[in-house]
Amino acid sequence: MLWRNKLVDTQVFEKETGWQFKPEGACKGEVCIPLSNPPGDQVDVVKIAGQLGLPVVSDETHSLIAVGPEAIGARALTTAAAPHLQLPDLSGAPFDLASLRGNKVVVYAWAPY
Amino acid sequence: MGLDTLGAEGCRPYIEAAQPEHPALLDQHHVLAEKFGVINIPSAIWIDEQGMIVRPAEAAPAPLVTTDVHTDTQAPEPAAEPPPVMPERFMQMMGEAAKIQSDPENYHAALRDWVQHGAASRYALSPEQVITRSRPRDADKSLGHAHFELASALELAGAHERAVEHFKQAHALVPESWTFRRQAWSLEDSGIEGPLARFWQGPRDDDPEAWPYAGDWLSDVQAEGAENYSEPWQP
Repeated sequence: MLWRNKLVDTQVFEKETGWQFKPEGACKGEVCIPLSNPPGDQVDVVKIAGQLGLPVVSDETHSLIAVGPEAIGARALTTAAAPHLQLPDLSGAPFDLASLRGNKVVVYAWAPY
Repeated sequence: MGLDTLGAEGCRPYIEAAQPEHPALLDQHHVLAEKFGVINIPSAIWIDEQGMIVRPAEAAPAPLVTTDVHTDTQAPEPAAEPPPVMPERFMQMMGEAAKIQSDPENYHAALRDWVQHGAASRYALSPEQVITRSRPRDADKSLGHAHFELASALELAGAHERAVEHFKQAHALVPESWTFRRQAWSLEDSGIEGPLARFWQGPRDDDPEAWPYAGDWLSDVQAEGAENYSEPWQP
């Protein structure tokens, strides 16, 4: 996941990554990782990535911070619940996959190369 | 969802030619790889009415087309003037591509079965099966995804050489991902013009030493075996 700034609104971080901050710690699926210092309104993505064991690769020149996905469970999916996914269409308008709830959905990945 | 660092620039001609009635989205930094474990295209994920994944990312061959679709639609960039002689590399690539195995009949029969029968379909997997069948992921692969996303963003920022370095890291850490490789290769100047330019994905004929990657499409497919390019579909 890409971030332009290491300080991120906590709710945005939760929505984008699927990690939820609860009294028992940061949780995803069945897994909860206790945090000694739970985040407030903002979360430092580099710091929290370290606490959650997520890899960080950054480029300071371009203000880019890439945080890798978790490897807990040793699988790409830690739960069968579809993750939050919002992507733009050709016009740039964001489309939220969750807006299709109530329908069967086939997410089809293709590429022009 | 079109997986392409170049976003609309890369995907627009194809989406406009297809005139889809479904949402057609742009996935510039391959979040489908990170979030769903997509490693090749075409792949698909099935999600039920409650938002539960019932089949994780898997090879999803295009259906066999027996009738003309959108015959009224001109391709936006038709190869109006094909080169008089197909370059040898493309001839070899087409020969390898012809060996790639897929099973569109059974895949699409399964898809129709799920559409009709929902959770009762034998092709709808349990949550445990969905997780177990999703791609393996360890700390190295997780790091590889971070390198890939950074590379893609650097490419867009105009920092091509830095992007290449991170693409290389991603390739080494997630060697099973064809999309990570093909994406990076397709961003190199192939030295040819037209809609096939991004499919060259290898050293230029006139300057092979300039190719920055260890592999390329033709060499890698030949080394790994075209018959292994796409994992066999499992009911």
